[in-house]
Amino acid sequence: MILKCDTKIKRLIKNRPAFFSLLIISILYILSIFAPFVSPYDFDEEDRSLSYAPPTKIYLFDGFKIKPYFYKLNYRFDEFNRKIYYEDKSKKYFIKFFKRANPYRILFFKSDIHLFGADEKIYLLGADYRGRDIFSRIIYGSRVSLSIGLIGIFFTFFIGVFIGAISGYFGGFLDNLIMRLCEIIMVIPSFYLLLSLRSIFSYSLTSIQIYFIIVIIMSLINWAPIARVIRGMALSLKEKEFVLASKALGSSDIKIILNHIIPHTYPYLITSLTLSIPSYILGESALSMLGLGIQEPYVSWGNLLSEAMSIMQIKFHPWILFPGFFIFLAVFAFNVLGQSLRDIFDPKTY
Amino acid sequence: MENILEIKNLHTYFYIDSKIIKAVEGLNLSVRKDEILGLVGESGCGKTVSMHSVLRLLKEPAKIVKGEIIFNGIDLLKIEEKDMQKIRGKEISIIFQEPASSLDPLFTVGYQLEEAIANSNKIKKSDRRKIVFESLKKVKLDPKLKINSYPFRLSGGEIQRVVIAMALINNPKLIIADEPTTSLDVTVQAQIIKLLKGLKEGLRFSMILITHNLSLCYQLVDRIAIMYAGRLVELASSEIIFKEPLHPYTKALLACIPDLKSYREPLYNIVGSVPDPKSKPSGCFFNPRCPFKLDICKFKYPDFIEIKEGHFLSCHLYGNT
Amino acid sequence: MEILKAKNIKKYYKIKKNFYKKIIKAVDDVSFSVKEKSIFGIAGESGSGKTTLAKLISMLIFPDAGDIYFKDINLNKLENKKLRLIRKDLQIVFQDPFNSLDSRFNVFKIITEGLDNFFKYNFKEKLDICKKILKDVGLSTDVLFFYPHQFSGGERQRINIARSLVIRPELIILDEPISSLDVSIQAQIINLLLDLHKKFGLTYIFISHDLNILRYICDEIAIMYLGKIVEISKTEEIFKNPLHPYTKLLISSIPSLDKKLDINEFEFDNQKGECVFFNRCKFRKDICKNNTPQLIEVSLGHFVSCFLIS
Repeated sequence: MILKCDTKIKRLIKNRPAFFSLLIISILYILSIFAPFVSPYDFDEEDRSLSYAPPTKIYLFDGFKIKPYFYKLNYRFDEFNRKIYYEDKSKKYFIKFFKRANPYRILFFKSDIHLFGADEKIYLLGADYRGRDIFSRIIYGSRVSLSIGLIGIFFTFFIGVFIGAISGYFGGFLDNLIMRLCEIIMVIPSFYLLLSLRSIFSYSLTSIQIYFIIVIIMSLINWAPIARVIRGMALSLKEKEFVLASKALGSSDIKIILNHIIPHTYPYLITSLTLSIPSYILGESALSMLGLGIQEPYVSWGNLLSEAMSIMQIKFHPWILFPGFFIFLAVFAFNVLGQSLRDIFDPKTY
Repeated sequence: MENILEIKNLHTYFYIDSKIIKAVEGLNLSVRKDEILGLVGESGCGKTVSMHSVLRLLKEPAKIVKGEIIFNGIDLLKIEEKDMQKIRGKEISIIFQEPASSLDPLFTVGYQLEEAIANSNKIKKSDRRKIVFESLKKVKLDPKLKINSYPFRLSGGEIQRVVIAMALINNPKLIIADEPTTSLDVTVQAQIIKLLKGLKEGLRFSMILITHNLSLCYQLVDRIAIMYAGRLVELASSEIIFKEPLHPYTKALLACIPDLKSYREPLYNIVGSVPDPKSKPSGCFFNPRCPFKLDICKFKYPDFIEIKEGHFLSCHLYGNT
Repeated sequence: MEILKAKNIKKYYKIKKNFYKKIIKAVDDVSFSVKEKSIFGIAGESGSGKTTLAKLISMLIFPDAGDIYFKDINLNKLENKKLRLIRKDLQIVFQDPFNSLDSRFNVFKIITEGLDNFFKYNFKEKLDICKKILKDVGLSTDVLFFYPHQFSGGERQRINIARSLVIRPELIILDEPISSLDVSIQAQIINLLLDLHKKFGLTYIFISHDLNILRYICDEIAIMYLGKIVEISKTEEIFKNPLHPYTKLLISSIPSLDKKLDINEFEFDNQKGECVFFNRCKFRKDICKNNTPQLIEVSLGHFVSCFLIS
């Protein structure tokens, strides 16, 4: 096993797309774990006077030294009573790194040091209508959007793999029944299934409960295609001689399924599960954007985008679309990683 | 005695993962006109690689590093690919090991045989048909029944006959048969052997029969070349190999076969196993397993010399120092 | 004592092809018995049903009709739990050394898989048992935690034999155990099998298409053709006095170092007769077309199913 893993990891590193997508994903997850450290502000820290402030212009060089700074924003109203922001170049505010600001807690670790900050409000990616820093909200929101994928595939794995393996190994009526069930689930348009399942539950639940309901609903939809493929693999694996040999040695069916059949599906599983994470991210985003998922004041990338549903807002304040870019980045990275994993595990490409 | 093929000092190496695997390392072999030469060796000895080198069928990461392959006076390793194509399938043809994958399942037998005819576009359709008919008759298949059959309708033995027909259709001077009967049933194998024997008497061609089965050689072959770890160790007429083998490996192989043993008489056990092509022993490749080894065997590889007339050997025990 | 008795075993496979059903009689009314501590050979080519028979005897698949008695216990009538206990005494070694080992298991896991099913040993005891069995099959104890892809075909076959042997069976079915190995390795494995046979008092059922090997090690041989046993007798008798036309054909087809092949090819046709060998038999008569011959004892211990003889 050690030797086999070795070559796979080597291939992973050599494969450019795989390596970079893995890098991007790792960075995103590290950012989300250390969200309070990385973000200068809390996700609900408001400043109505700076509503829809544009992304702060950062000047890198002060004279000849690299000392990033920016100017405070002032505003005036124009003929349509719209706020126009302009820089008050009277005072330079320098970006301070490892600045002390709002205290926070990551698991058991308490601190109040943030990666960067300043004496005035700095909006890396602009502000929303309540003057909340979009950058901070995106980082906090990544905690929901990225973790939902991981927890979801955890459930999908267990449900899909066991049902698929049992269906394929035992065959007969049970197999027929399970496969028809899978087909029914796969035929129903998944988004509408998601909406209908969500609507079964009451609207007045806490966000945490909603979060888990979303995860469970999506797992219940996503297990079917995996179960089908695992069932196919189990069908062919159960005819292999080492399975027959195990049977001849007196192993029970459960033992054979757990020790011989399921482990041989790992290459496919890893690839397939990686490729199903984007659907969790997108599903959660869609639900939250429509107001059925994570609610205010909690953040997820989807519900950040619900503000961006008006063309007028996008025209005047396009930076509210940044959460969309992050969704795109994460989904793209997972897709590329999944495709590359498929190549890496396939012995014929090498 | 004219030689139709002369392989001189052939070296074919595989370059994988910055390692060099010397599959064929200094092969010297000649095939006479109208003879069947058996190329015998166990798996990994390089027999298939050497024959694929003759037809230049190898691709990256395999490379023919050194040597000459003289066929009909021309060095095959020096000619252009387009000239090589005029030789493949026409002057030298090859029969592969797995009959099932030798034929394309999407086309009929007749179509594939027609395709194999040299310069088929210059021959009239009716003439081509006649040639295909004749070739099927030669291999004892009923042309009317088989010519429009698809490969999946034929048994393993019948497919192999079609492949033999394909190999013969252009009246080649040399046929390379790579373990043609290994995957066939015993009774079918016997029929193919009989067929090959009959064809050999009627037509005139030379054949290199690659096999690991010495008993098979006994039935069919004029001379036998024993290969071990990429080089020849012994080459002599069939009679001599079976009656008076000299090389310890040849003797060991013969002693492994139960054919001549009586009930449960212990079979000879060659200690150890065939060397890993990545790390062959120094000196004679067989020395770690040789019960008769001398000191010199560990340092110097014995030259391949004609020790008696027609009997070539590479072994220090017989004064080849 | 007859350790194994097969009585009228049948295994049919139904195939639906374009609206008509075809029945393939993989094993058709096969009966034979195997004496304790002997080596019983089953010879046949592809399609003879020998592998299906191997799987039937080892209860990996179940017969459609007939019974298998192991030490006078009817295996067909056993419930699952009791059947699994019988497996301790009835083992099988498969043909393909590459596919019969799980590539994700190391040698220790492979050998102890069977051991864990029948015995309760602690880790240290298992280590000792594994080391001993590796020595018995001629492998170094250093390889205990290696993986299958690190071994050659012959070594894998030894691991196969080790894992069947470690649970101390009485009968081992060997389904073409050496066919995919090199000649010199074949000799090694055969020597090993004969040693173990003597040392542990095992009974073997040795299935092969190579009559030379069977002649060399078996006490009794059964010849199979298209699902039926056509002849059974002691080894010497089979080769000295083969009676069934197929047996004669088989013996004359095997390339061997002591004679040149003398093949009288019979152009077989598609005439169908009740006797399985009808379309290839040059001695066929009318009676063969309409009736199925039965396996009859024509001389002591020599059974043939052919109308020409009986």
